Amino acid sequence: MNDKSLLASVLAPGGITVNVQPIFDVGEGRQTVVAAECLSRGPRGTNLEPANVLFEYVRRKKEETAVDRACVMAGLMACRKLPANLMIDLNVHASTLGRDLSFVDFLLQAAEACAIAPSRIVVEIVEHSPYWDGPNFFSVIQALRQAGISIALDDVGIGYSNYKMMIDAHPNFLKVDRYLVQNCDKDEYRRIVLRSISDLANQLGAKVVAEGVERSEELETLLALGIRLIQGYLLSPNRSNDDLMASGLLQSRPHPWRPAFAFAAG
Amino acid sequence: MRVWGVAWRAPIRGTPIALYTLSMSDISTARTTPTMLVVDDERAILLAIKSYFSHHGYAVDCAQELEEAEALMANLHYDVVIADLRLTGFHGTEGLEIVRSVRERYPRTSVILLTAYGSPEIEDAATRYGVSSFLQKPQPLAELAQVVFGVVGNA
Repeated sequence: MNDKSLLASVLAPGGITVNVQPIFDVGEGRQTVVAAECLSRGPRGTNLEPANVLFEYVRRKKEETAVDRACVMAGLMACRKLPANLMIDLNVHASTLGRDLSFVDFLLQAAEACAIAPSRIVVEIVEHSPYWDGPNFFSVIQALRQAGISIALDDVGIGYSNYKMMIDAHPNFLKVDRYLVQNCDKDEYRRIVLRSISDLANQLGAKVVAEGVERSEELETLLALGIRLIQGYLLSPNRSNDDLMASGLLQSRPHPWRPAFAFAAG
Repeated sequence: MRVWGVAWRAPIRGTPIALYTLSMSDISTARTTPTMLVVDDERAILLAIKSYFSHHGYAVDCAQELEEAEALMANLHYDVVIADLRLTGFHGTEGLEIVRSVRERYPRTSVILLTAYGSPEIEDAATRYGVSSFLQKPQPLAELAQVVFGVVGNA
């Protein structure tokens, strides 16, 4: 498979496949799925099948724009049957938002084709290098807002999802990276950082989503810190859209989790 | 960005049953499967090298592009990388980029450069970048294996 055909296989119909992972609102005695994040992977049977390899390859090829569009289309197609009360999170590189001036038009057309209201869409901004085209980035962000699309910062706490991006993007959601979440019940430094992000989000009018929650102690600690939007294997692994629909998770249910107040002071 | 799915790799040689029967002294000397990445734009060469070294107990991944190889190396550890100098690309010395990348980022990885277009300048550059071994193509697999076993060890 040569250079052209490897990338072409990613961009071909069916080259990107999508699973979804639900995001839960855990609080007031119930846990309710409020959103689903689309998680893309590359062509089956290739080195690019794992998402981490796929996107590393795409970034090195500087083909984020084309592949982001393919992932967005595949994600919307995968989510078109989800209940209309669920938000749909789509990952998009900041560099795509800085370069692709017609991205918003594309996104709106794709959403319309899938009968998904723009107000249900959350664009999760991902970046692994500084986005270099400020004016284009800002105009795309503004167009997203005008279309009623929400904005999330992905991987908050690591990499380039930093204060500058908060100032530039005015996000509705801060998605805290799993690095900060893992073992937060055992690590006072993690709890202090999480509390600071939670306070910052409150002042910015944004909500915090904790990613990579795998243990009940972590969840209880997050609840004690006021973080109630939860994503991770503890509540649900990523799964196909059909599996999610059949899982029964989409029905709101009582939850057993209680804030771990012992950690709240940390 | 959330990540799901990781490239599979057998962590330890032997079946689970064999592992259960290991004594403590066996466990202390148990070795993980040596891992290899082969980078060449010729599919037939990839298949030949993969087949040979898989038979000798290596876990072998293959890549045909510089970026594909770099994406794999960024996510998986390899004991040894065998790269052709000239891949599909613009400058024809992509193998040198792989050598440099390995030496800068993955110091525990050995890297062997193969080329049918060798020159003293290329060999000097590869040596400067820290190549473990520089070999001419075509290279009999048995001789390549001796070099690999020399830098990594027998599986």
